[in-house]
Amino acid sequence: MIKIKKLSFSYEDKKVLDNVNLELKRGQVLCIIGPNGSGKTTLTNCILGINHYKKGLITYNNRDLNEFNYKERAKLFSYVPQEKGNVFPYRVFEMVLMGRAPYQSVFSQPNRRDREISLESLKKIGIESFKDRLFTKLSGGEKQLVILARALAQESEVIVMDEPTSSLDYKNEFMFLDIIKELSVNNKKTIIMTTHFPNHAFFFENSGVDTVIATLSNKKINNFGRPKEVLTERNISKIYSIKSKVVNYDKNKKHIIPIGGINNEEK
Amino acid sequence: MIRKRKILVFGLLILPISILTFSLFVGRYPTSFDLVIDVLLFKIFGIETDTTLIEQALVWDVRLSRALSGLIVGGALSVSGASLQSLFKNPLVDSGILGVSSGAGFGAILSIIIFNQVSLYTIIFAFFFGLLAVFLSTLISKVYKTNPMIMLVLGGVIVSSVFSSLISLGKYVADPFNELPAITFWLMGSLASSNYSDFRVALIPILIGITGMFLMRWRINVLSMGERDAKTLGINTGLNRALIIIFTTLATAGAVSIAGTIGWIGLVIPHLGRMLVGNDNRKLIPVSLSLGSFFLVFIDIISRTITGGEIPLGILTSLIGAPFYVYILKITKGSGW
Repeated sequence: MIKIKKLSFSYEDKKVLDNVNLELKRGQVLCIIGPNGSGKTTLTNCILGINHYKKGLITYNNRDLNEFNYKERAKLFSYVPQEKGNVFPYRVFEMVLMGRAPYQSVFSQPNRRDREISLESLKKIGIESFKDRLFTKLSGGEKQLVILARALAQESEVIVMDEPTSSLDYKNEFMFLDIIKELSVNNKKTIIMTTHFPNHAFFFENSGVDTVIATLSNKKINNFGRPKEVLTERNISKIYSIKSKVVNYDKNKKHIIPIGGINNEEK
Repeated sequence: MIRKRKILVFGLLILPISILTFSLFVGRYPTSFDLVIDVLLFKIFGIETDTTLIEQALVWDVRLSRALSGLIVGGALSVSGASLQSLFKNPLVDSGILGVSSGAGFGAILSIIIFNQVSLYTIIFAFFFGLLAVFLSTLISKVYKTNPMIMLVLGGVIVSSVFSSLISLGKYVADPFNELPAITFWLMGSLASSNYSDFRVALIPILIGITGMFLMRWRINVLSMGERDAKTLGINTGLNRALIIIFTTLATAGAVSIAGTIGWIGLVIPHLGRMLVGNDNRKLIPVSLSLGSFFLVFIDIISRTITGGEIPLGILTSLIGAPFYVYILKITKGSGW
């Protein structure tokens, strides 16, 4: 469905992505991992149309994404940012309703149907009771759920998330991952998420989600494939320069445990 | 829900209408209730009543034109303030952030110095220099491409400061007996010289500006989410931002050109609105419009009745508005701020 071919991107003179290739099918979850500054966010920004790349091609069903205007793009891709700081205390429902923006013209306003869809999205995430609360007064985890509801209201095929769990505690992190899993399995949403935790990819694969993972380092995608193939001890040490153990449990489930920095001689 | 909304709409309409009506009955010149009604009957329905030309001029040409000007000026300033606060994601922004007020101020002074008095040219000069100032601010913001909003604010600050210096220069070279008092009075804001021809000149840009912002009010919500979110929500941020800047500039330049620089309203009235109905611009913009127009006519009534002379509006807005603001803050507890 989505293909990235020979994508390169630079900020001014600094090259951040060099010849990146990726392919993603409908309903898949793509996890992008890589060290800080490896270009994960730059890559998602290219997909979202925030960064304008000069070299390479991103296509959706064989159509160049650059041919899409903002509105058309927003109907395909919704976005869940890392953390949402906000100046004005909007109510949760008002926030979610903004997901309907791609369906409005410059001077129009959301109608009854838009309100129903927004309410439906809140229900789907299970936070209907937040409806009238002020967004600014919510905890980090709750905010993230609201933004996810906004993405659902957008009714896009693909949801792009940038380290969505980075500000969440253990419980909220897994609740969030569970919701992503449901969206992928039940709603056939395609998910692209960057993450610092390789185990997220294992989590999805262990739960039977159609998962692929891409590892980004040195401006390139070094490995791409199923988590169990990509996330080996050797690859992890290559990407992050740390020692780790991949353990098996419950027959065929996998989990990765970091055990320490790498010694130079072992490299 | 629907009922609540009807009450709100009714309240928003009744505020400016009632203050407009009230303003016809009060003033330094004593007018009885019947007299005002008679003038209105004569002017609106052509019914012959026992009123003199002076009385007609007083009620119809002075008080009514002045109140109408007050309505559109107050509404324009507060709606522009509310829109720009959301656009810049900054609650401390007011309607003059992009330099329109100081630009208009300089234009007015220039015309006063050139023509030795306040005239129709004052309005025209003020209006176009207001537009020019905003145009310069946007030009400066394009010099270096980084966060466009921060560059715009910086551009506004720089242009404002340049025009403020030019205003000081204007005051310095002005004739201290004729021109300087006119300049000073103009800069402090006043509706004293308002008449229908001025009103008509300012009405068009103000109406275009307010209508534009009113129609875009939900979109302003989305823009206040920031550049990246707004883009991924399908909004052409560059185009929409430009539209809002154009609308706010037209409205503010129109307002400043007939009333002079009036502070406070463009900053604080939107906040009163935020405390009363929340931050959703679908409600906030109409509420700011209603409150702003009500408040300025209210202040203007005080400015022309409380003493024998006229007290400039710029002085009264904050003197009277500040305690009022604190009172609302106390009863609403800030509602989320």
